[in-house]
Amino acid sequence: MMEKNSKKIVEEIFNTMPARFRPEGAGGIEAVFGYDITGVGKWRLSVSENRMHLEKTEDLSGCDCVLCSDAETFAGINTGTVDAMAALTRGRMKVTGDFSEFSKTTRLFVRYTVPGQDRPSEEELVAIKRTISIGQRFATGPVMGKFLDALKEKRILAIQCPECGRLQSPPREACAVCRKRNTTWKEIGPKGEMRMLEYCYYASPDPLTGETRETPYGAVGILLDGCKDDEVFWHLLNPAQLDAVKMGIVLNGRVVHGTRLRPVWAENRTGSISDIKYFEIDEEV
Amino acid sequence: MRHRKNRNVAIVGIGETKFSSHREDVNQPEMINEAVRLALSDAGLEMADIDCVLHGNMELFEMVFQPDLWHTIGTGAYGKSAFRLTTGGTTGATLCCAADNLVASGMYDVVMAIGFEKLQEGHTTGGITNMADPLWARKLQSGALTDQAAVKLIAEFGEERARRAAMTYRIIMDKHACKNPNSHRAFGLDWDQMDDLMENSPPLIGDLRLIHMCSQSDGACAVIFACEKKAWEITDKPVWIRDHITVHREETLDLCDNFYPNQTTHRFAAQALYERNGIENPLEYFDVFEMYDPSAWWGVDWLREFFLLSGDEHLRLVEDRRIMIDGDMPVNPSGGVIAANPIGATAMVRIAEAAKQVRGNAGPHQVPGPVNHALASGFGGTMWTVLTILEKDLDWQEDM
Repeated sequence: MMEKNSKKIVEEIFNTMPARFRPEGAGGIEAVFGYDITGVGKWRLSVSENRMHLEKTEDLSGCDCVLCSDAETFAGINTGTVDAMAALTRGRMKVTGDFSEFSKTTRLFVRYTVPGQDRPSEEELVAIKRTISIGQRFATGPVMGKFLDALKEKRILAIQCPECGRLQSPPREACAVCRKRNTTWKEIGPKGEMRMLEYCYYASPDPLTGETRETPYGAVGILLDGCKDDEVFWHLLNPAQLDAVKMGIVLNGRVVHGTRLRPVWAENRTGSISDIKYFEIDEEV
Repeated sequence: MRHRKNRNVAIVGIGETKFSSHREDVNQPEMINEAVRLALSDAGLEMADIDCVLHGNMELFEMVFQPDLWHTIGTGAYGKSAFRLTTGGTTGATLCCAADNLVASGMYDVVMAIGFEKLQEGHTTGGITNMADPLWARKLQSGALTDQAAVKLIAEFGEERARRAAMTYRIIMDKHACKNPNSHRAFGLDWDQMDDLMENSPPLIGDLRLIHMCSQSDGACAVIFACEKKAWEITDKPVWIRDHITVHREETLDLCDNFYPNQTTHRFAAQALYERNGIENPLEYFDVFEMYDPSAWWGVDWLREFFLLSGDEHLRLVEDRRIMIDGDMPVNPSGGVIAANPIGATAMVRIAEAAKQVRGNAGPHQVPGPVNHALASGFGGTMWTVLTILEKDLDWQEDM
């Protein structure tokens, strides 16, 4: 792409932003984005309450995040000839501030197309946009049901294999290793030690609510008291304590103990994973 | 359990579209049709020569019911026997297993398998998260993103060595991707960027950074399988399917799978497959390995499982760059899954790429040395492994 042409396209991209804006894509976005395109100019895009405001400016102070790029790269990303990841990796584009916030801007606009571009007519390349929402209701069965029911009384149950003795929580009807029906119930925890932490920065969708997860958050594997080896329980960590915990590990038979954790129970418990809000550091030990 | 074949089956035609983030210029059947035409032309066949068509993707991504019916216009399955298969990430490999079984059984002489995905048309992480069991794990899982392999490698080998090994693996894969004209992502990464990438690539989960992770791609792959008699009529370079194995765990994804010293599905599959085929040293036996490596961390970790290594042997394979295209154990000369991941096609692309290496006409990313024995893996949730052995000759049968 010629440099002069790129500059013109960059101007066009910003000029057409109000016309390409999708209010339905702006839901939940409250942010000020800055664009610093070398040799072309700076723009400030404010998004609030499903509306946008764009101004060409010299002052990008106070923006939540700022994208810096040369004109060719920015034009290429918007017209689909440059991969944004590639540009970021090669250092041709930089984002200061909250990176994950910036990735939301792709939802805000209908794709920019270069006028008179030598391709099949754009009217023929229509994309149909759909958002679907499905209400679902899953039966839990007597085994999982018993486990979920106990959560209402702040008790965590595990089921035990009559053959190998391993505990499973959440429980399964049978031990897949021994192929025996699990019969014995045991109460475990509710306290334990942290064995695994997934420190999540990436804002993935929560399929139970459809909402984007707040980041950072921690998904943890907890070895609840009464359990051994790989009998870890999967839940969440108090996000405020993400940097205050230590993972335990078993490596070649050597055990390193992790931070002691306890569950924080929800006020209203309905027999679901949300009956435990999250686990937090257990300071009494 | 021995895998008994009624008759030999060979790959006789391969078609892959270019992989990219956007294929907005074509709809799903049109994109599939590109791969179908490429495979037919590669084999010198016409649609009339195909007895049966297999079709697969992960329907949670595009949320299209019975996509094979809509796609008939692109697959060419009209009036033919046709089946749809879907096993998540392993779909493409499962399609190849099924095609092999259908031909070996004598049911059909020539079968075409097609894997595709247009990830741009759905929500990949949303789709994968929905794969978790709805009674518990769906609240917790973040798509295919996990840093369990990173945690494990760092615990075992220390931060510095583990991080360097993962980034070395990543740069090797990018160097391979740059040779493959079909790559979706080929950055031109070089060794001097190692420290910068380790420090500055945006983190996704723990030590798993954006640069380590595979892309979301659009694309399709078609592979044609034929019985021995037909194969010799069609091509002078048939690639024989020697054996394949599928292994998965009963549990849905949980946090201990990769963390504790319990056997992974990869190692279980590799052990069983090599044992029943009399392969004692896989590292020595195979000339190329196309691995389904969704991230650089998994790639490093899984080398140990697939080659049945112990200690830090897998790290040394990476550190000494023995897995590079011109090394003694080339892994993913195509660039692998980090270079392109149209999920329903991805595991088939591993087999297709391994087969091209055996034929010796992979193109710019052809392994320089002779390729007689190739290995290809597929991976998907929940802890699925499909492992396939491809051969240039039929001489292995005499030993058995």
